[in-house]
Amino acid sequence: MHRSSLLMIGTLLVLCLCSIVYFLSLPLHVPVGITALLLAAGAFFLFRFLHRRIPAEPLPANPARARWGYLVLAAGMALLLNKAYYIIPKYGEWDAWWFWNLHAKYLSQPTHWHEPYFNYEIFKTFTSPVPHADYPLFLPASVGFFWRLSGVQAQIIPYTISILAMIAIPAIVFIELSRKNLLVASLLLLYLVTDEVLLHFTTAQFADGYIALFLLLCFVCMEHYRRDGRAIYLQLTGAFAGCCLWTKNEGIMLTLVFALVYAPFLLKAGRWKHLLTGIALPLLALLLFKTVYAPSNDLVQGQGGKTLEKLKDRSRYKLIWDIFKMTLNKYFPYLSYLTGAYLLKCAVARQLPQKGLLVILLAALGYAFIYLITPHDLEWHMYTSVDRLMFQLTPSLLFLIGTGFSDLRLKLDPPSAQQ
Amino acid sequence: MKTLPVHIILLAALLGSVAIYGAKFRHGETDIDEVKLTLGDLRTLLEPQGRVGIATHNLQLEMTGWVQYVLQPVRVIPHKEKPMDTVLFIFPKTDPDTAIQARISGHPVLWQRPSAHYRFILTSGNQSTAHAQK
Repeated sequence: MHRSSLLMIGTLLVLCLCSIVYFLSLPLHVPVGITALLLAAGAFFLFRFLHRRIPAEPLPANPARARWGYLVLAAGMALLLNKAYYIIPKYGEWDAWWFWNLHAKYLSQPTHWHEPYFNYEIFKTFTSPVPHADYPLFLPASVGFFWRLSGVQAQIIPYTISILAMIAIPAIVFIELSRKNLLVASLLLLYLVTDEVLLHFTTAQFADGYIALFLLLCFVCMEHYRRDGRAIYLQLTGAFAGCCLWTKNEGIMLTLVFALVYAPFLLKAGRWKHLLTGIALPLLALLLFKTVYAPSNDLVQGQGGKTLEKLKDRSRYKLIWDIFKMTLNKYFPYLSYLTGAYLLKCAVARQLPQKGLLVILLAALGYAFIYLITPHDLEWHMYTSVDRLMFQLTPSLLFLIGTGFSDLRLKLDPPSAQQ
Repeated sequence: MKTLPVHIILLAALLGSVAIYGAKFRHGETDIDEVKLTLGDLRTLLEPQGRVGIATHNLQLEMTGWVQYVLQPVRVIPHKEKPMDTVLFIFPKTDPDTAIQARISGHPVLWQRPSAHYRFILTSGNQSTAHAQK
């Protein structure tokens, strides 16, 4: 694995570790200084562990190709920042004020952190003291930890945390694909850095950017495992699946779908044990949060006798399909063409599409099913969320398509051009 | 690609992102309006709406010190730190779902989406003494 990918992976794991350890430290009344020292030691050992277990990628034989890679990456990042300047909202957007940063504000208070989760005296008259208090805590606990550590609830902290995802998504796709095919990697980098949807959801300080990034990293690590066979990659896949769980409720479904699709592969030769090692800590934190603190989820609580009626209602299926199609055409116009081209390439080469595409497809079907039984007004629910759900799947889909096209190039090129 | 140049590009991108945030908002350029209201203003604002009521007067509004994101329910956390008597309202200029509902001292005040459920909660000490609910 390229050392820069490893740096980003390590940083993201440390960030996730910060949120988990900080959350666990709150009920134990651990002073934030001690938590920070523990985390610093944890970060040091984690990076050392990753560097020892993962070998550095060999340098390319052709230095001109490497120079081209630096140029493309630097130009891509410059384009990204230029566009971001005009888009960045000072306080993030709706969800950032409405609950992510509100949760973080509570979590940064050692005496008030649990108020959104327990019906304290002050909140007894309200049905929902803080919106979406059942959402996992990756983003709010990270922000809350750094707010408390710095002693200032500065807006730059949630902004910087969100911006990490904005930079990491295109950078990881480019670095990972450039090893195989620089042209495909460059085109996808150009697509991502000029994509308004990526910029919007990451600069808005939403957690969806992180869900997209963690799912992407599951596929990246799985790809490395298939090539290299080192158990550490499966452990990292598990860790990033765990990060998905710990970020948003959708992450739970994505992890289940991922595990389901790869189950036949994981059940061979005890691979599942490595995956479980990686996922264990975030899974335990999530179970603790969901069983002790989180109120019940609005979508689950709202189910009842009408659920069956909704399942039988044909008009709901049609509405879901129409809004999915409209959102895809409006916000992701090139995705259908890229996916179509990849499937055509597979048909021509008489290959089966990658298994990862099945994860994306099943995840989209899972989202559709949740819309089908939603207790909220279906149209309102879809219009307020379907674009972000599609965005969560987009970087992974692009990476899988890019990997598919890179393989094609590798076969067509003479061996000397592969470097 | 070698490691160091890629590390430098990524670090530059991160620092550049932080720098553009500072550059954009240093001189007050913002996508929101910030309006400070006193509790008296808040009562003046809320009572004429006909759907809200402040149960008690002489409220002492205590906050944790961090101005509230008031677009969502005004949430006032009882706290033993220094009491404050102003609330900062933060709302987007451009959000099409918001609507101007009232004006106080020349400041436009925008609420959460008119169709949405919102509440105002003022507290004194450990007890909720007033709330307004649509």
